[in-house]
Amino acid sequence: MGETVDSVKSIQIRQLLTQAISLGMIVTSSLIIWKALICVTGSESPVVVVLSESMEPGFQRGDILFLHMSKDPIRAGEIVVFNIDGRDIPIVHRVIKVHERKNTGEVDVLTKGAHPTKKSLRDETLEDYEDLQLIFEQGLATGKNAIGLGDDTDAPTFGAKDDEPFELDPRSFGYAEKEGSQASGFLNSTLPRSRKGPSEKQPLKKRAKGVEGGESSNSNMDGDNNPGDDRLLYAKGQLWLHRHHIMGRAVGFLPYVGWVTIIMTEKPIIKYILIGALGLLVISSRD
Amino acid sequence: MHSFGYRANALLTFSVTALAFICAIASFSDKFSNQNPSAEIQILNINRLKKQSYGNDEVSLTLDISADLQSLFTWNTKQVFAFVAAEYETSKNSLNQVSLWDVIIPDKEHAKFRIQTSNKYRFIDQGHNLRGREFNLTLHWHVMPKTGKMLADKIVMPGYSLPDAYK
Repeated sequence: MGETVDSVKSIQIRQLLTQAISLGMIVTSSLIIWKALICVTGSESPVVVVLSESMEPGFQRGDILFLHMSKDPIRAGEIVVFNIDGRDIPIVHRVIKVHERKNTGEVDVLTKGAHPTKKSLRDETLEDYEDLQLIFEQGLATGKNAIGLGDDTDAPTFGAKDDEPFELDPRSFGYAEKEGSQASGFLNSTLPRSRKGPSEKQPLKKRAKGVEGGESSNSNMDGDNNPGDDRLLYAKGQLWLHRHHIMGRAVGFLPYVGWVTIIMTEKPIIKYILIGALGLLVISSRD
Repeated sequence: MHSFGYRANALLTFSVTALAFICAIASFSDKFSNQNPSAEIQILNINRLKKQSYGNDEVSLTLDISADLQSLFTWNTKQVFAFVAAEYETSKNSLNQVSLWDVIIPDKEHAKFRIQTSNKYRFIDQGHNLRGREFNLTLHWHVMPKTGKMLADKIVMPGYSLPDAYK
């Protein structure tokens, strides 16, 4: 009797161990595949999920991007994923300006979002831009004009394009309702915008006159849906991106698949349910 | 072996694999399309060439851009992102690319267009190198597929230049 119990117990222990090991194998082999992908693509994060709508209509929220980081130089028009110091979520935007140094080959890059044809984008981004405006006011702007009311640039000015802050379209920062909207069609000829808006515009305008960094390589980038460039998103005082900020270039794209990750991040209970169900499946598959 | 769990698992695995395969094939089919886009850009006017108060040169110009990108659209194309960049070399920088204007083309009908516009983004140099500078205007396009690999190409139009003095 005692022997039967012992033999039954030992079989159960062996099965348990076998299952634990096979579970471990599954986990470690997926880890191996992930690390191999990192090596092959040269990017720390070879697959990313698009979280914001700043690249619509090209990339919707929930799409997956495949990244690759080759030694090729960064060129205008590429869609890159980059990290800003102090922010943990990388950003996917498009390069609009490239300045490459002769001697070192290093690169200055500026990026950008896209066109604000969607009113919801203007309203939704307001929160972030208010924060960014605080950062902006503290340090990036230098100039003779104070931030305030009654600047002479409030008057309508036709044709003086050098005063026009094309990059800094305040429409996108949620001020459009006050100025009278200028919804831009898909292909509009951009005559200079004549009306200067209320004083909230001044801080944004000052950013353009801020100190131009003359540092080595810079990248300027854009998301396809924001009218201004990304300097507001960079770290304080940073005007350009450099190669080490960039995690990879987007080379491929799969729609909708990323929603799984978004749902699991925003509702972690689903993650626990899934893991619990998987665990149950493994344990119950003893036969 | 015939429980609900196993069947659901097998079904899910198979459908995901099949979908991935179909996406890959859709992307692969893009290789077989003949593409011959064309474009022409004229500079209508150089509105301003000035030195900004804190140092760098800036240009404002009006362009006449006409292009026919209809052959880039296939059944797997979601949109085409096209932009015009000024490219030039300076003594300090081996390459400068400044995007002047861009557009998102959602379908084939909009892909043949002609537009006269001033530059959407500011053309600012790092330094004072723009007087008398010769530059290329390049029309780049990025084809964003419904699924799969993104393609990018360009047409380089050389021979444009800026005035010799600030104006």
